[in-house]
Amino acid sequence: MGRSYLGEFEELVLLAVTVIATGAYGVAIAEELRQRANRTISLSAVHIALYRLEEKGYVTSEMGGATLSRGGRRKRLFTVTAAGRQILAEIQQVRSQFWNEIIVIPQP
Amino acid sequence: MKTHRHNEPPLWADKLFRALCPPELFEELQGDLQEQFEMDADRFGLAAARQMYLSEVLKFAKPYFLKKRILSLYAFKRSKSNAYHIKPTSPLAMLQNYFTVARRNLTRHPSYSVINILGLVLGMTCAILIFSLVHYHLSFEKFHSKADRIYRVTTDLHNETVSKYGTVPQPTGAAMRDDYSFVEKSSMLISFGGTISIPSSSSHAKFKEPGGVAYVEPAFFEIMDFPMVGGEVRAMLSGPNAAVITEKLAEKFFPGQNAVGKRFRLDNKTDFTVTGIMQNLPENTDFRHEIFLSYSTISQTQPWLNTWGGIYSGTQAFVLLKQGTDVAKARQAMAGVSTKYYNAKDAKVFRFGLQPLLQMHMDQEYGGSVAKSQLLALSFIAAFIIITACVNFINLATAQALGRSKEIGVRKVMGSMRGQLFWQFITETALITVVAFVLVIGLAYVALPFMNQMLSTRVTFDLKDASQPLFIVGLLLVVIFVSGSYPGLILAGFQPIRALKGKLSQRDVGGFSVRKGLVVTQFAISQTLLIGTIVVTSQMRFNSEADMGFKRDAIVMLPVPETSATKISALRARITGLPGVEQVAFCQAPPASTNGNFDTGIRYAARAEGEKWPIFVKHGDPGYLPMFGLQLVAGRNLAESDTVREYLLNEMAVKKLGVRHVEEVLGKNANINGKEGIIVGVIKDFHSASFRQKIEPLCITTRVDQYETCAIKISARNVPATLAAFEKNWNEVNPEYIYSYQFLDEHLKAFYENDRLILQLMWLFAAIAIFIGCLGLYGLISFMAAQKTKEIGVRKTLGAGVGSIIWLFGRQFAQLLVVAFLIAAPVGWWLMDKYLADFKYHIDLNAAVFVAAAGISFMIAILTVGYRSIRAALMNPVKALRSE
Repeated sequence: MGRSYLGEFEELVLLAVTVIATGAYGVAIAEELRQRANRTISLSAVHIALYRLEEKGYVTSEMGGATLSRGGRRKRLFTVTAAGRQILAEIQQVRSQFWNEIIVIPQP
Repeated sequence: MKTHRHNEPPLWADKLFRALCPPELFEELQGDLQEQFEMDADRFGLAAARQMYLSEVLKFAKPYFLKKRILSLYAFKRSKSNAYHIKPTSPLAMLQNYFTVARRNLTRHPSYSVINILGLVLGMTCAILIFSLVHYHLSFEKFHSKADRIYRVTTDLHNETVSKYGTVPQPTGAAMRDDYSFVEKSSMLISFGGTISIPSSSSHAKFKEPGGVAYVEPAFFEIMDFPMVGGEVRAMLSGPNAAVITEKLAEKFFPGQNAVGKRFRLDNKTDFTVTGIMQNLPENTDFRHEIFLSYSTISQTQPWLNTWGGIYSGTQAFVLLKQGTDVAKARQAMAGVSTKYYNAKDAKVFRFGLQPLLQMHMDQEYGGSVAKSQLLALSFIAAFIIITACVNFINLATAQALGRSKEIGVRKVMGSMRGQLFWQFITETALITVVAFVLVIGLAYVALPFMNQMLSTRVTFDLKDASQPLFIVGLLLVVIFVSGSYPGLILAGFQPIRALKGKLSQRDVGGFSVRKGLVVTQFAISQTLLIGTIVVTSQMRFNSEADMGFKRDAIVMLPVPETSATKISALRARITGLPGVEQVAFCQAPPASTNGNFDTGIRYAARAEGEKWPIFVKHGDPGYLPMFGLQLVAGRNLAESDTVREYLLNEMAVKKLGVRHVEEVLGKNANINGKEGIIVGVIKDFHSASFRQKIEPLCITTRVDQYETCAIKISARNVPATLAAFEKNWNEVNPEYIYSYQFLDEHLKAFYENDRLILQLMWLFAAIAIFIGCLGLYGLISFMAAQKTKEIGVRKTLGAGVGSIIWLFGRQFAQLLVVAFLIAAPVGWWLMDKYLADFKYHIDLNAAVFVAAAGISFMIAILTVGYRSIRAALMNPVKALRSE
């Protein structure tokens, strides 16, 4: 399988899925991102990112059970895969390497 | 989490989401949206939450989801197995089903599809071409911004008969401008042919432009809208020897250079300087000149024109009337031209009028190229062809409908609505029509140049002009609905029980006599056209083969551009010595010709007054008689002379003079065209024009400055070498001119150019009419065969033979054809009698023509009907009867 690269938003979503660990689904992830990144997040964007991550094999999903809330509709629950963890680690490593080279943060 | 039963998100936003969302993702996404909404409602209040909900929904209109949404329409069958997917009940899905069924139906009956598509292709192609043609003719001169105020001055000559001309005596333009206050501007336009040479070019390039050259006053460009590329036209054409040419010609004459200031030479005589460039001519104008010369030049180059007494065929006057002029009053006022410039006798002859510019193209009396009635007739033909194509389509479709009654029945039982069935048939028709349409566009593009060539038109498909695409789309829709709705309504109206029991019959699809009527009409038209085609073809053969009274084989004609004695003798010396040349004669024109005919008055012997009838004058040297094999009945041939000295008369002239014996005129004087001469001989009558005209009084005389043609009799051996030698020698004598040659046979065909066009059109329409007639016939017989299945089965079990079954069909069609022929024969006879009456010398209409026409259409009908009826007759009766 060829390497798939992650966009910035996809990376954030993948991180959010990892952080939430169990029971990550659209609304929860969007909420997590809103709080941490302090920016407007639309559900549709989150879902597109999730489906793309699933296509790339970085997350898996299954339908959860029906609940009383949300009109009785089921949630699709996402879990990060081993490949997902690995790519996050790789990204982190590449970035660290760069940061190690930077002695002073350049001021604009 | 709290739930708010009454605090729901906006319903319509929900619906929108359902439309946007791929069904397989609907549940989870809808759930997430709902949850978000509830959260937002808690946090920000209901109103804000609703707004946010809507904005979230709208954000789902992203390519990622829309693509999945569209794919899901196709993949929905597969996805049905998946538990959490929801079936869409979109009308699009139904449409897809219609297409599938339509496609299967078309491929199951390929012959039916092909016939339908062919019929529609033919009909729509004709319609599109005819529409473009009519549109083109109607658009002539409309682009002039002042078109409604522009008029052409016309001349009516009131002699024994009234002859109408769009041309005028040359001083008319100035008279209109000076004498009438309602004329705002006026301009003459005087056109000539001519050879253009470029003295400055190294190769001495020569050109002959089909549009010729036109001398115009600067006001011409202020009246008409032929825009210049730049500059002020009044300055360009004010001085003598100035010329304005089109961009196209500028590039042709002076490639890669700026043409302004360059010089060219006209007919090796007059030099002109290009002072301006005009934009290329639009297609829809009758002004085809691409070289406009300053009018002040004309008094030097063509001084003979400046007279009220004669009309040169290239002289036109255009006037721009002041706004609000009463044209009727203006016309009345123009009687003043006749009284002011003519003596009392001539003022009665010369009458002037005004013709609107917009009518010029369509007024055949004054030389317009097409009549409105012809365009109307063409439009009717187009409408007829389209209607018959549609009706044939309906015929075939309803014939097929009986075979599909089970399908309809099942569909209805399963809950199909009438509307749904109707749209299903419309979809099927649309599919056929669209396939046909693709072919139509291709065919129309291929056929357009042929049509233009045949009709000498310049029709183009112009997408910038909205009317053509609009017509095409409109035609498409009309064809789809006209041909689809009838079978659609009929089929959709079947009663399911009857349909399923297979008890449908003719009564349920109706209209058998209408169909018969249509087939009769189609065949009556095609038979009429066939009769016409046969008659015109025979007359054309008669025209080219009948004896015209002179020899015309193996005679080549070369132009003589400069009719001077020295040039002519130089050419004569060169041509006479060439191998393969048998005889040479110089003349104005061959014995029969469309050009070089002029008639004039004759005063015979000592009679005090000239004769009342005109006499035609032909100029030729003494070689003229032997060259064309004209026979002397009395006297001798002309003697060699450069001027008019002696005359030969034809027998008709002698008869008109009232002289009993031909010998009596010999040695008498005659004054013809103001030139005195002695009559030395009388020649046998010959046809000097087409067979449409009677033989007229005619004389032949010598006059070297009129010898525009060099006629050469060549031997049949090695013709190409002889012709090549002509070209070489001719070019050496006339280096400034462009060589051309023509065989006399070819030249004589020019008399019947229109007849050939009529013949071609008749062939074409006869072929189309027959083809469409056959489609109609085929549809009818398919219908009958489908309907009579049981009857044939019963007959066969009772012992009927194949022959008698075929006769069952044959009898019906024989009747139809006979009725069609009974209509076609008198109509054809009447039309062709009128056509032939136009020829003073023509073939006789005989029964053979009608027998042939009937024979051909019967043959074609039998071929069409035969296969289908034989197949019906050979069918196993068990199959037909078993299903009862």
